[in-house]
Amino acid sequence: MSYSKMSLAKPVMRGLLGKRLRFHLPIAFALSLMAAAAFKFGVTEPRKRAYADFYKNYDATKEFNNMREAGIFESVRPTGK
Amino acid sequence: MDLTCFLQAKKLLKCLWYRVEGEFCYCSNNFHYATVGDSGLPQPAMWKLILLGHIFSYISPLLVFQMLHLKLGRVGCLLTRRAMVALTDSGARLSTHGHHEVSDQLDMSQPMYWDRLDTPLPDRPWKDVLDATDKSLKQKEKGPWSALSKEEKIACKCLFRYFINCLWSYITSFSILVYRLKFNHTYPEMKRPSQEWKTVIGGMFIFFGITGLVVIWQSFYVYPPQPPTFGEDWQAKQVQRMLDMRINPIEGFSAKWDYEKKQWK
Repeated sequence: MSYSKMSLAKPVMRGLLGKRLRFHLPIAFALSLMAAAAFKFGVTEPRKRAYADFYKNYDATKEFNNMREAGIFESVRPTGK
Repeated sequence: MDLTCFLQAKKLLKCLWYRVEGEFCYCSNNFHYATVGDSGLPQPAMWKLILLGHIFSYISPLLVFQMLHLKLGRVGCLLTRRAMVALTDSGARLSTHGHHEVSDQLDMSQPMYWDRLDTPLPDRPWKDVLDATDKSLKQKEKGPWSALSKEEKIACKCLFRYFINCLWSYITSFSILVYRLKFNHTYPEMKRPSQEWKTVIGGMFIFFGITGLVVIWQSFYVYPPQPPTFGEDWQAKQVQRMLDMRINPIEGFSAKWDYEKKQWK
């Protein structure tokens, strides 16, 4: 342990917020854009495709008759009764 | 600005710098830049105090006494507060319930001393009443600090004795003696780890166990009989009705059922 005269260096006093923003803001923007892109191509596009495929060959009357035969409606009974 | 005020400000900033950094560098009387260090550890959360304070001290005496041995100086934990009233008679502590008068109760109307990571400079210095050696130290503090540090160094050729000499010089060195006049603990001493986590985790698990027993007893003696909608037949008829109604046919429930083959996809 030296007994000579030692001083501690002056710490950084200025530009702390700017330094932090320069580091964190690009990362924040990049991560946000990646999250948005992931949601778009992972969730919304498949969902739009699923709806389009469902309604491409959808016959409403046929579905209605199937449901009527199953007996779930109260306004129309199955055709047998 | 008055020169004496300036010099006192310099000394105060120097004290703050040493207090926060916890290092004792041998410096001259030059100006040193004072900054506040990081705020350190937060105080123990209130829920821990409530959890520990009354019940667990009677359940796990071993853990408690082990922890207490390391924490007698601190006032941050409710357990130590209660135990310190019983065991110790020194240091600052908070008054308990007030109806039994403890002999040396803390006078809250006077400036207090504290060891806190986030508030580095307390209202009063650690040593209020100075004996002769402390007074001489205070006089020496007014002069340059490097001069006295050099006087305490003893030249020695043997390596082992040199290290011991360095350690002893550090403990008895001028800067830390001056520090100890004003402050009780250094920042590393304040930040020293404790065994409190064992008490916390142990108390948590004990209460989990008690809660589990209570829940089991409830399921046998408190809960009413299950509704008929929980039965197997009812559930099967419910699923069939949902498929007939075409619940969520695009992406959900009925989308997973193959209506031609009459089976799950």
